[in-house]
Amino acid sequence: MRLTFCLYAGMRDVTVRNWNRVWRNRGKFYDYPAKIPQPLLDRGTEVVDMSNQKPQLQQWTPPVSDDPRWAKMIPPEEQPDWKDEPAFVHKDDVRLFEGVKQACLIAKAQHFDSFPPCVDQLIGAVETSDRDLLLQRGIMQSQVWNTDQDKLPHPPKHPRKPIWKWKRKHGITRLKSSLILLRNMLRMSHSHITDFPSLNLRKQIVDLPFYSYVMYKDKPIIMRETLDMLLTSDQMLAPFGDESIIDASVMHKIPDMWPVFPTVDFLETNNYELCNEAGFRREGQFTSPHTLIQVPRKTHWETQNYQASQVMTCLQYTAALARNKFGEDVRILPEPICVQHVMLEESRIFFTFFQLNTLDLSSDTGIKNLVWTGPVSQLFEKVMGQPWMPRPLKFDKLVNFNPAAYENFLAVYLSGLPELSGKSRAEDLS
Amino acid sequence: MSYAETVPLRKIDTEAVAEALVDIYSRLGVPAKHFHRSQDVLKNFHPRIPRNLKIGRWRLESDIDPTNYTLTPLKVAKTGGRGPDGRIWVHKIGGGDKVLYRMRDVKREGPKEGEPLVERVNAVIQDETRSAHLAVVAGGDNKRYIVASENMKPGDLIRTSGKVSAMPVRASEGDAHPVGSLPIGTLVHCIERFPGEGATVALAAGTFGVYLRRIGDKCVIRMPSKREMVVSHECMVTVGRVSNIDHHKTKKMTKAGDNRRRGKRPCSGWWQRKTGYHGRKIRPMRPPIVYEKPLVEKAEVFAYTL
Repeated sequence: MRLTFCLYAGMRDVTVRNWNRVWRNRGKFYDYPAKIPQPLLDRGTEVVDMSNQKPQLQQWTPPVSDDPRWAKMIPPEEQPDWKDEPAFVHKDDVRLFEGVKQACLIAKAQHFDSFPPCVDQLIGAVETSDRDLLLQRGIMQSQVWNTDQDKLPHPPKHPRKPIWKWKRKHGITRLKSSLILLRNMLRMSHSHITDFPSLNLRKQIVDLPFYSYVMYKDKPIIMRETLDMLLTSDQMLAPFGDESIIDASVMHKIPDMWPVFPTVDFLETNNYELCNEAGFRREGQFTSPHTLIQVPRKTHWETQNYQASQVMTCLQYTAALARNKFGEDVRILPEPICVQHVMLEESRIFFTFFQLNTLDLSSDTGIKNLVWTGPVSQLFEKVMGQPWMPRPLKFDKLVNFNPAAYENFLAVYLSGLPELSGKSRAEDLS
Repeated sequence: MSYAETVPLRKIDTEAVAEALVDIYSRLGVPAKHFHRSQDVLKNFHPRIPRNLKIGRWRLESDIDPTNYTLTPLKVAKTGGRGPDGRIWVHKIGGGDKVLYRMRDVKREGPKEGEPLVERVNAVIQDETRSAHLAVVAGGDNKRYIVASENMKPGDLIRTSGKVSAMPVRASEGDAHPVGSLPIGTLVHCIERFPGEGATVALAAGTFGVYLRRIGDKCVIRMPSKREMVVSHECMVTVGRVSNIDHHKTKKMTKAGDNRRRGKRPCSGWWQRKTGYHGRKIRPMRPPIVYEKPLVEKAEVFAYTL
């Protein structure tokens, strides 16, 4: 059977109400030709087909010509940033299926599955007074004490009760609780300013937009994103890997993922610009990025997917910094650019450290960029309540408090301090 | 008492009657009976859609464009057995759990010459809207769902070739080839009826066909229903058997609620115990179905159910 558009629209909306709506708007009778009596035709009477008569309405124009409420959507082809050659798009909701391996292929990076040495030696080096109390206060504020009453999504299916009808819950959303916990941990870390006065130079910039691109195999991968927070300092971070590691990376062979291209997960667009906007219009005293901080909007990913997203964000951001600093055509960077990335997902903290050595991503030879991914730090665990069970199991619980996760966060925050780096150098010499 | 509708007729001829009718209609409007002139045309007021269309258990939401391929599982709505007129077309359908629909690609198109297309299996997942498992495969810059074969697992490499070779190829499970280039006796699934049409036979869990013999440019395949089909040697088939071979054991209901969760309503009617007269009849095997009509471009058909 051949279905017309009208019929198709009606069949997709099975309900009678929608059928009636479609019929009212698009429905059409097949009208047989009118049988006009011959005498009327003989008399020359004018015959008017009333079914095609439409009332002539006066075209309405908005009172203000450029009122945005009635602005018409410009098609993508007519927008000023239209390009004939499409580009890949990376966003924070793009999940790289193969994880860090796939991200390293795009970034032409050598991967180390640990903290970099300069950060690793800071873990546990500084003690925080009342650490556990302050951390537990922060957790309670983010999970319980905040007065938000937003609508929460239903929890995933429980294997023992797959058809349980969950009651609607209201409370603190996952995003909000992550942001509250992040703010508390940053405040705790910043409280060491009495011991390390250089922390006065750390600045927090919230919702920083950046727009960057990298060329992968002669095709741009663009990223237009808003960072949740950027920690800045007065000077750039020292390289995580020294020259020996950079030289050794020439011999490193990045594992391939044949027959799949690393760009398989990206979408394509024709509306883009090749920009190098790192969030600052001009360089100032506190415009040296130290740590990128993001809170993921997707909560069901695996660890490797989060870490891959971190690597891609670091690559795009450092690429914008490098082109601003060394020119548009820079290939091998005269000096490396390093940033840290922290991602806080409710109770888990992901750490990634990125060192940009080259922007020549087309070839597999030459020096590579360097990536360190630290182990996942779980600050606590949230056990979902089971309403069908008796009281102890009925409600949500926060268990397995692990303050050692904060030590990793503190080490990342204190990384690059002149007081600590001087101390570590002295220890190395001794 | 006045009769507004009446018009005096001085003489009863055609012209005078027509003039009188025009006069009345201009004042009162054309009545529906006269407007449509005959009883047949009155059917237009109650447009009917042929009821031989199948009504599925689910339908896509109206804001989803089914022409844009996506890996994202899509939300579907329940039809409840209702047709587009809102009336029950199929009984015994209604209720059930919410399910997500995944777009399954039934076309395996490979290069006619040169090296075959290689894809990697990323994952094998269960799908709620069909009995067979689905495999997420990726090759080059494309990702898609295909029907998983019996022993398919993540990390496997599957090949697709469109080349019809004179010598039989040594194909492994999950590979897709034209049926003419496979050895006789191969178990196949995802069978095309016409070249390039897409697989339509042996897609359900655990099913398979057997490549029996070749007659010129035609190949004979025994379908899962034991009937034979004669197709072109260029029709693509996938080697092996469809996954989830225990489906016929696990799909059985253990309680009435199982069927309700699957969207099946209880059957109603007079149940009679079967006697010996209701047993299986031994009938001669039906002749093979020959698919030899040329593949013409199909008219635009919009699928509205799954």
